[in-house]
Amino acid sequence: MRYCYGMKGDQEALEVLAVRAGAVIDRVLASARRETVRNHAADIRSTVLLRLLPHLQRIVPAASAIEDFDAFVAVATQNAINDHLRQLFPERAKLKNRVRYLLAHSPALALWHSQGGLLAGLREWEGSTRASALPVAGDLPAEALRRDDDRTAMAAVFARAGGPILLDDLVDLLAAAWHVEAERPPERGADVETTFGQHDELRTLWREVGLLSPPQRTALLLNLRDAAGGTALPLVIILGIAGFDDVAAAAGLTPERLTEIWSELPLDDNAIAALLGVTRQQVINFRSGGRRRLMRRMEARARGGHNQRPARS
Amino acid sequence: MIEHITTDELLRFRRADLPPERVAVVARHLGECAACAAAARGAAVRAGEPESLRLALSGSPQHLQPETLGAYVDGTLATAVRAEAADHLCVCAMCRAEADDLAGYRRRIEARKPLARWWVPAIAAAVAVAAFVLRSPAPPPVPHHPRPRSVSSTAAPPVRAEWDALVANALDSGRIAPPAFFHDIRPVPDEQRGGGAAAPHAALRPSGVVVESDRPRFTWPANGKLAVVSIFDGAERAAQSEPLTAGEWVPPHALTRGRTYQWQVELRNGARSILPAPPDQPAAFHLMDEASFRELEAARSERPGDHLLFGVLYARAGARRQAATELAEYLRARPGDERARRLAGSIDRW
Repeated sequence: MRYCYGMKGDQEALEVLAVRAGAVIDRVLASARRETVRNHAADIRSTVLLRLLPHLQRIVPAASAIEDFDAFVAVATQNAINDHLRQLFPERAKLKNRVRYLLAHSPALALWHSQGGLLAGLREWEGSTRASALPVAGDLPAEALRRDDDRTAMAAVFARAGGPILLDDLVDLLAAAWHVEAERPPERGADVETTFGQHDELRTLWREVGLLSPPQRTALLLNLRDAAGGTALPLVIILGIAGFDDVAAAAGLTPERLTEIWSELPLDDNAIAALLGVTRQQVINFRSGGRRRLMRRMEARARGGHNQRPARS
Repeated sequence: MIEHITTDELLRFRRADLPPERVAVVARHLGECAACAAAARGAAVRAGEPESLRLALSGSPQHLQPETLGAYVDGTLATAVRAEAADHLCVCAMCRAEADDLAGYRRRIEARKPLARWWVPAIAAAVAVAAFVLRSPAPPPVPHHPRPRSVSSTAAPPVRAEWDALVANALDSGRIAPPAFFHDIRPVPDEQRGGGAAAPHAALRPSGVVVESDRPRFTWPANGKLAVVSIFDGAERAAQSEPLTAGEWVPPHALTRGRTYQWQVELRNGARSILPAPPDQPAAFHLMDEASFRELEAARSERPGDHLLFGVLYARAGARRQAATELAEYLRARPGDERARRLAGSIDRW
């Protein structure tokens, strides 16, 4: 991507970018053909914005790069939609993975990009840009749509369509024929339980972070990154896992010092190395050692061994 | 108490973009004001941020995209990417469930291979059914050329003089010596426990044997633990599995024939443990060399039912277990053949 990194602080430019990103997100969401996506548009929009915003402060697109920026946001939005749908409909996600896999691994079949989305069909159709009309599942012979024979089912759909069809349409048709979408995840009440469970787990994880050695904590927390590469450290405070002073202490800093470097987060390894007075490789080792210990401890807790006294590494 | 924080301030706090003088103020307000804290937490939860934080702490914040999942189960990801994906799968239940499902699907597809062939009858059948039921124009069916059926021949099988000589020599001498690699695949006897021939690792397969397939099936007692299988050719790692939940694995790529491999399983559920547990030696096996493999294939094709020949060929390749099976089969039909019995006994004593 053709962006200029490291130019922070231009609030006005950031707001312009945020507005532009919001417009791209809305456009992608509005063009989504799945009703589920439109129903969850607000949640997906906020997810994408939260993922993107930490980046925007470091992204000042040149005039010639504005299309790259839009494409970047569109891909981030599509990924967020996919993640959202995977969580909402895990069985459909598995079906889609299988269909993709079969399309990609059969010499007779193909999956290719088009402006309207991923197209699926016979290899000889590859490159076509227009999707054919989706056959109605009821028009297809029941014996050709057996769930235990996905190969024949896809063959029947393609034969009936006579041309490529959108991957999502193909998955929708098969999911409807096999009642896959009916296998929905738990509804709202269970979400609350999940949230409480996540919160407890994060508090436990944070307590385990406190048991790491000081340089391990510093190397881990000051470089803590989310999926978009921005800092994830503010989440500790926003989610109510720990207060600002506790976070500063865990990172081996005074609250004043953490305030000073807040806008620089996440720090790269060289900056952390300078802060700790060690080499960059030592920083990497501290962080990976800390993570390994964290994961071991969490796995031990998951197994029910949480009564054992944690040992300092 | 200061006035409540705005949504904009909260977003800027999240993206670490507040002016320094506001950072601690906003952070402390979130600790003091229940209303603002609840609003901030609610928005973060709706956006899936608890999971983001958990994955960030684990060092693997990004979910696997479908292309990556497919390449992961195929074992075709570059080493660095594969390591990242494996790390993510260790901490992300959603991606792990999808990877397990896809790996199972892949196994089923493998069992129905070759893909190139299934398509032909499948589409032909589907098109035929559709055309019949729908009575609508359909694309012409792809021509199906069934493989010619093999015709059994009554002609005498070709004689391979060298096979007959090999069998005759083995019967005359009453023994076949094990190949040099054989003792490398058997665990060294524990002298303190009385010595004698040590048994291979019973719970791990293959162990102490010669295998014929260049993609052997590895099995171990998984007990619900996440496992990573590593295969070594000397000091070099020849193959490594992704984290697995089932107690079996078939390498995605063929191993090199004629080599002796060691392998072990790293169990990662909680404290890391290794099978076979040190100080036991790693499980070892030998992959039958190409010449022996081809010769056995030819023998099965040209001398079907010649268990004595198969036994001698297996023994020459170091495959004691298969040799014993074939000689036992031969002796069941000819229990009075003392020379063959003596030969079988010598192989049993390897």
